[in-house]
Amino acid sequence: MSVKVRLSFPYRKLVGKEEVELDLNSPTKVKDILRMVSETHPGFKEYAEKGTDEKIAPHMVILLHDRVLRLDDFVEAGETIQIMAPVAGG
Amino acid sequence: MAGGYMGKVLGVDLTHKKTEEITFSEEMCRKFIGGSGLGAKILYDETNADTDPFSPEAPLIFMAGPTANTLVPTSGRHAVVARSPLTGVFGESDAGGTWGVRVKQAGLDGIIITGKAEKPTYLWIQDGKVEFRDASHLWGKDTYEIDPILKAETHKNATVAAIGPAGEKLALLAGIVHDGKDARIAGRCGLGAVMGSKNLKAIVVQGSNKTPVAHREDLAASVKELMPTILESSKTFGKLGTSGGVPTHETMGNFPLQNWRLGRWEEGAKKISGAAMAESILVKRYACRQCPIACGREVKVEHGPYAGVDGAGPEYETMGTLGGMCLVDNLEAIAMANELCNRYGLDTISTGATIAFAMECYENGLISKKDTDGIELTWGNHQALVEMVKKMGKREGIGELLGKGSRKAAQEIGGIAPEFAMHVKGLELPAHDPRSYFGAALAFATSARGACHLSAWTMGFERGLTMPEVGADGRITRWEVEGKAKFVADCQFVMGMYDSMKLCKFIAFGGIKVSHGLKWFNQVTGWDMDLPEFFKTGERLFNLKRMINVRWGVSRKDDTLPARSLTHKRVGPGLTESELHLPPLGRLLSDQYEYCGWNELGIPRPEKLEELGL
Repeated sequence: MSVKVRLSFPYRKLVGKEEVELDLNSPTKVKDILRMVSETHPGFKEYAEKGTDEKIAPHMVILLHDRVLRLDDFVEAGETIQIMAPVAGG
Repeated sequence: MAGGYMGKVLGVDLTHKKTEEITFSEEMCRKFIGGSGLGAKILYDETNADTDPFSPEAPLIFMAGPTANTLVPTSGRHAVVARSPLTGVFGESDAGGTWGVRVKQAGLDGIIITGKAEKPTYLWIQDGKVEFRDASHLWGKDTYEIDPILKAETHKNATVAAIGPAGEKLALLAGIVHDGKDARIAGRCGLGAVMGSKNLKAIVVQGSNKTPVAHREDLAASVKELMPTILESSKTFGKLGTSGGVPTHETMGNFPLQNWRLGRWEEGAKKISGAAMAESILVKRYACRQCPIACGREVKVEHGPYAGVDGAGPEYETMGTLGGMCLVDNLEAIAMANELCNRYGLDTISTGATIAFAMECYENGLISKKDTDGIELTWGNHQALVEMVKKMGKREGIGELLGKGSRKAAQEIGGIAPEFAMHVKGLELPAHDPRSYFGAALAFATSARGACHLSAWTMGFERGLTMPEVGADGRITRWEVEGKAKFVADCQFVMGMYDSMKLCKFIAFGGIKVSHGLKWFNQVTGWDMDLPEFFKTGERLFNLKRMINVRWGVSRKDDTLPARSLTHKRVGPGLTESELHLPPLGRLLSDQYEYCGWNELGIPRPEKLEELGL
C-alpha cells in the first residue's frame, strides 16, 4: 500500500513532479509524511521546514479530499493528500 | 492632534464650486479611526432616511487611514463611502495603489464630495489647493486613456481616481479606478455611479506633505525587525498573486462554478490559476504603495484574439466571477474582460456574477438571442463574456439592463429569474461559497454592504491561518456551528478596524497578527490603545454601520443568503459526502445577534449603543 502526495504549484516545481508516492502500510502522521518528502527532495525541504513542530508552514495547506489536515493528523495507507498554496483572493 | 492625522478633511461642493476645511477632534478620531470608520460616521451625520444616492446632497466620501504615508507596511489603501445606489444601503469600497498616500501628501485625511457640477469636471488638488477643471474633453474616455492626459495637465507624480463610461452612464455596477492601467479599483457597491451622478470625472491629487508620526524611530525599528518574517511568509502569495489560490479553493468547494451550481472543475481551475498566469501572460508583479508583498499582477497578451491586453491582471475574485461562474477557462479572454472592466470602470465581481446570472436566464429561456443582439450567451462562451462586458460598460443593448446588477435585472426579467440572482442585499456574491465555509455564510449575511468576503475575512482562518486575537489557532473547522458566531463577529470587529486604519488584510499572509498592527498604529498615533479598546472600537464601527442600515430599513429579513446557497447542494461528479453542506443560517444569526447585543430582529439594543458611545 502507499500514500500519494499530490503537489500543486509551486511545490510541484520544487519536487519536479506532480505526485510523490510513499510506501506506507500503516497510518502515518502528516509531519512524518512531510519529513519523508523533504528527505528525498531538498528543494521542498527548504519550504517545508519553515513550519515548526506544531505548525504547518504558513504558505502551505494540506488537504485530504476537502478536509484541512494538521501536522498530527494521521493519513491512512491508500489515501491521497494534496499540498497546495493557501492564498485567498480579494 | 495625534500622529497619523493631517488634521483636516476637504469638503467640496461641486454645485457652488466651493471648498471648506473640516476638522475633527482627537476624541472623534480615536472613536472612529479613519478610512471606512470615519467615513461611516460622516455618512451617518450627513444623510437621512430619504437621501437618494444620486441626489446632489448625497455625500461621496474618500478617506485614507492614519497610517498611510508612513513606514507601516501595506497601509497605502483608502476607503470610499456613500449610500450605495446598487443596494440602497451602506456602501463602502476600498482600493490600494497610490491614491491613499497621495491624499495625505496633499495635506488631507480625506475628501467629502457633495453637490453636482454643471458640466463634466475634474478636481486637481495639490498640497491642499483645489481647482475645479473642465473635463468635457475626458467625458466618454476610458480610465486608461485619461490617466496620462490628466498627468500631463497636472503633475507627472499625481495620482488619478476616475470613473469610466460605466460610471458616467450611472451603471449600478460602476466603480472608481485609481492609478490608470495599474487599475486599483474601488469596485463594489456602485460608487462610480455616485461619482458620475455628480458629473465628476476624476480627482487628481499630489503633494509634498509628510504624515506626522509620534514615535518614528520605534516604528522604523519594529518594521525592520518584522520585515524578514513578512517577506518569508508571503513568498508564495507574492509569487502567485491572489489567483494562486484558484486550485486550492476549487478543491475545497469554495470556488463558484456555473452560477454556484456545479461541484468540481479541476481542469478549468488549473487553466486560470495564478500558476498558469505566471507561466504565460504575466509580465511582472505590482505592489501598492508601502507594500512589500506585491500580490498585484501586470499582464500582456500579444497574440491571438485578445491581443492588446496590457496592464493590471485578473485577481482571484475576477477569476471566480468572470471565469468559474461563467465556466470560462480561457485565461486570455478573462484578462481581456478584466481589462475592459477596468477601462469602463466596472466591478469585476458584480459584472461576472451578473453575466453568469444572464447565462442562466438564457439557458432557461427567460432571455433569448433577440435580447442579446444575437450573442449566444452559453456557459463557457468566452467571446460572449467579452462582448457582454463591452455592452455593460457602454450600457448598450442588454448591457443597459445588466448594468443595474442581478437583483434589479431579475426583477425586470421576471418569472423565476430572481432564483438565479445570487446576491445579499443587492450586492453580488464574491468568489467564496457560503456552503464551503459557514463563517463566510454568516459574514455575507450580516456584512453591512451585502455579500462581502472582506468585512470578516474568516475563510483563511477556517483553513488553518492563525490569528490568536480572534481565537484562530489553526483548528477552527469550516462547518462547525458552535462558537462560529462569536468568531465571525470578532473577525468583523477586527477587519472593520483594518478597514479604518487602512491596513491591508493580506498582511496576515506575511505573518503579521493583530497585535503587530496595533503596535504600529500606536507608534504612529502616540496613543496607548490596548486590545480591549481595539476590539471595542471595532465593535463600535460595526454597530455604527448597522445603525446606518437600520435607518434604511435593514433588519433580519435582509440578513440572508440566496435560496441556492441555503437549500441547493452543489452537483456533479467528484464530490464527497462531506462537501455537501448547507449553512444553518437561522441558528447562526440568532447566535450572532445575541453575542452582539442585538434583538431578534437584528437591531442593536439601546444599552449596547450606549455602551459603545453611539
